[in-house]
Amino acid sequence: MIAAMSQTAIRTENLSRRFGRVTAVSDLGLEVPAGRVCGFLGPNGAGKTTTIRILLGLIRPDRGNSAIFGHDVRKARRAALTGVGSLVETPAHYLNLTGRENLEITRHLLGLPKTATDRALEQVGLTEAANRKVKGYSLGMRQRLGLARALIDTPKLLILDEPTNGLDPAGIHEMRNLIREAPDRFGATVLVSSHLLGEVEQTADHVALMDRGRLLFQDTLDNLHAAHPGGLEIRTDRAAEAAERLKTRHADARAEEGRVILPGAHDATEIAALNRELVEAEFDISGLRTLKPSLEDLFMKLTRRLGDQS
Amino acid sequence: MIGIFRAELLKLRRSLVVLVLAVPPVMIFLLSVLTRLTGNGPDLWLVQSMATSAVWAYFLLPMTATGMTALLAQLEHSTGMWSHILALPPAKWTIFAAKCVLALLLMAVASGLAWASIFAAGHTANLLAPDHALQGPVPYWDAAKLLAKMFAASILLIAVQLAIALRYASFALPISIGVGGTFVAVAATSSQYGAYFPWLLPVNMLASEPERAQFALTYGVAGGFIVLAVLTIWFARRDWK
Repeated sequence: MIAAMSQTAIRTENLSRRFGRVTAVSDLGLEVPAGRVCGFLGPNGAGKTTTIRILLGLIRPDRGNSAIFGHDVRKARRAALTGVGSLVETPAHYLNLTGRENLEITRHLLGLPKTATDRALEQVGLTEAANRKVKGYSLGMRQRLGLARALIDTPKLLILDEPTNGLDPAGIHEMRNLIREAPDRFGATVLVSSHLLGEVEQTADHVALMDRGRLLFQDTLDNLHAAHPGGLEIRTDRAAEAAERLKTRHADARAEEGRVILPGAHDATEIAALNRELVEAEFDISGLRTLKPSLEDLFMKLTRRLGDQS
Repeated sequence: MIGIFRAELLKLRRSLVVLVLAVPPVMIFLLSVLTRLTGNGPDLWLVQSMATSAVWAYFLLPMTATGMTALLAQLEHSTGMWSHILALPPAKWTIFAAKCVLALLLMAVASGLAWASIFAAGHTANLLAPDHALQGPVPYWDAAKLLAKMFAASILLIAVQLAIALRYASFALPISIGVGGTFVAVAATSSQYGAYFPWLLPVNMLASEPERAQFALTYGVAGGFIVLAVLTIWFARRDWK
């Protein structure tokens, strides 16, 4: 039983779903804190879209529960989905209708006042193109219209599935800003799924990493980096010699283009000791830099670990 | 529920719905006028209206139902809008119930237009060829009752076509079944099992035996609403991947 907790926007327990012999989601225990931008990451086929579809009540799990702001999605679907704006995969619209008419359909379905349509159009900068048929919209405009539809009910939770798909660089930049600003601007929690890890790294402060239906990690980006330090880079005149010398302390030490790389070295005392040793051995040290692994690097590392376990 | 129905109506703007509604009465009109002008038609208004109603019941009604239900389902299938519509808070069954109501409403409108075209054609032919003018009382009311019964008996076929159109994303299958059902109905007229064939039920309103007509009416209406109820519940419960 999932207890009502207002500070948790999304919570799933043991969520599992198979399609035939393929396990799409396996025992997923996802927790997204309210008021944050959570990057829901993983390669294609990781189970992100299946999870999102379960959260939106579009498909049923074989096992487990999911709740939005404490409301069970299956038992209290209406309460759970009220105030949830979503953009699932490609931006779908009625092409024979105008942008405004498309939003009017959602407005009627949600029983909202007429002002909601104009406000949503304004929020995504589509007011001028509102009376044009969607058939003539660019992909970026269609994506923005999809976002307007997600924003029409002033959502407390935005679920965006691959929102930058098909967008040009300017569109990606715009979408990124909108996602980043959503908690302050609309007071919304955002769950944004993507297979582009670097992309989400720029917008999310919380991440959930998935692969092959399983959750690899979920926490803040800072804690992810703290748990998986990148290492230390030392710039020196005799990099190969220095790397050889440091191998007594760090077996992984290696020389690379005038620098020594020490994977995993992050402790301040340890860094000071390494520096002292090289200085005393009369190496010229021109720079020390801690390395922050990219989300992609961390994802690969966590994926390998999952592979080793299975 | 009113908001959901208004949304359904809004979706029809600039769609092919007007064309789907307009083609059958235009065909009825042209067919009737040309038949009258060549002097091949019956002499009495009553016989003329019955003959034209038969064309409607045999071919145009099931084909219109096929086209209309496919169009209603394709509004979401062709655009991928199901994922958006069904992820909104309103209960899913209300979305499908609104589709069912709209399908019945549009087919009722189509029946009304067919009725109007029968008489428009008759009067036009009388003006163009007064020598062959239709005789006897103009059976507005009798034809209205007949077409209303044909519509009621067709609820089962409308429900079946709607269920198929909603279930399959491609329009090819519902259209094939609709066309196939319409033509099989001609062959099934003399079969004892024809009484149960959904595409033949509107035609059975013209049956000379009152029991056969009454059975078709009851079976079409009751069966139709049962199928509509089942499809509403089933589609609301199924996965939308």
